[in-house]
Amino acid sequence: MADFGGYTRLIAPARIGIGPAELKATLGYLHDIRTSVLIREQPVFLDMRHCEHISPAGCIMLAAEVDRCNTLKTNHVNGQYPLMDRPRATMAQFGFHEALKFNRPRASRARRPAIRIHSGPKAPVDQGPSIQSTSSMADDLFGDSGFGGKVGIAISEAMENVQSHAFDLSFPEDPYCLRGRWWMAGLINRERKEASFYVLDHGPGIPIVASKKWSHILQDYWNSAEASYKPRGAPEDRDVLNAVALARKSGVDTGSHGRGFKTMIDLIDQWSESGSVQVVSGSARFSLNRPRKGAESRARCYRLVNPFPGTLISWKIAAPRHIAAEV
Amino acid sequence: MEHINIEVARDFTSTPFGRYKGDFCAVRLREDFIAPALRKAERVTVDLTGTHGVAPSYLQEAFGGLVETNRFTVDDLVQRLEIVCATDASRADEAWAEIRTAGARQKTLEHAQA
Repeated sequence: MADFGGYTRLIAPARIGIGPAELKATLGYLHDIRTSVLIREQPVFLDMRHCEHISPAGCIMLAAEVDRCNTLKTNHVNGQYPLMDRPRATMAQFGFHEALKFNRPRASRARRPAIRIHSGPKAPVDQGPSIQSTSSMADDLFGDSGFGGKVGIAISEAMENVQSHAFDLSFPEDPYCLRGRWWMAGLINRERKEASFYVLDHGPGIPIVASKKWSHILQDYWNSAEASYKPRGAPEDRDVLNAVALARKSGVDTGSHGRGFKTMIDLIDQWSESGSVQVVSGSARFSLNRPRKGAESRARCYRLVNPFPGTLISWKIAAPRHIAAEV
Repeated sequence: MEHINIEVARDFTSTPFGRYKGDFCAVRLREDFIAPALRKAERVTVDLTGTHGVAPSYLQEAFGGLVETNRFTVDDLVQRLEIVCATDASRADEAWAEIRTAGARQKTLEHAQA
């Protein structure tokens, strides 16, 4: 960090993403941006020249963080794109510059079709058509087996959660909480018949919402045979996030809650060749991964050093074997 | 015997979204179309053919809400309501599952209050 013409220069990590090796540095960088702008009210210059890799999830998180800061403190974030072509191409491919009204990064052509970052300034009340255009990419990728339709349903449920939780006004104001802002992006890999989707909101976050609104469901889950442990004392964010993700799947009566996770997890477990879902929310990261068909899916949840005020859901699915074989 | 046919994609939207909010949310489908039709006609068909991305929570609100909010009984709905979806029959099954789940929840609630 250094003074840079009135801006505080923040040097980006070499890799920006949500993989286990990248997440700590990425969230640390976002934390530095947020606290500089929103707490110290200091304009920042994002020096990304030496960034070597930015994943789609990293791209949407960074775009959303810059948007959060520039919305709450006008024109407080500026920066410089990476020198390397590959991360610049990723940012251009996802429309990072369009989402933030920045200059377009100079980059070679994108290799894969991407669903460019959509964002909304208000409750996503009429998102049906935009969700359909997003899920139609999945239809094209997976053919007419019905799998594409199931993907569309899962995206719709995830966005429904964004609407009901991120725009919930029953929580006290948080300086970082940017109500009524949602983000969505995606990526299609035709060679591997894989699709990835990313949904992000700047609401209070799943652990806070669930602790307040789901307390009896959380207790039911922790008291059930399906829970691998019961938290001692006050539950941490990782305890809550893990329970929210797995309660409905475990058969606990969650009423109208938890459908988004179950829809995504069911598609991975029952239909797709392989897949994963990762959630970063509050001070916790949840991941469920099934590397190949026939393998058991494995869920993990752990504590984050730098919290993320909001929720990011990253969901990757590969076509069922019979579709993949048609490639 | 009056029969009302609601083609959701034609009469409402092909891209339903939102549980409570929005022009094409589940509450609007239920309150402006399905519940009034059930009050007026002896038989009602809700046709979901051609709709895209109808989320489970949408089905819960639009169909389960008939029991939990509008107080139709499951038996009454079984007699008078038909749900079809030529493009994905599982959507109709899921809508009925939501109605039955809502009915079971309603019974449990009434039992607890008795």
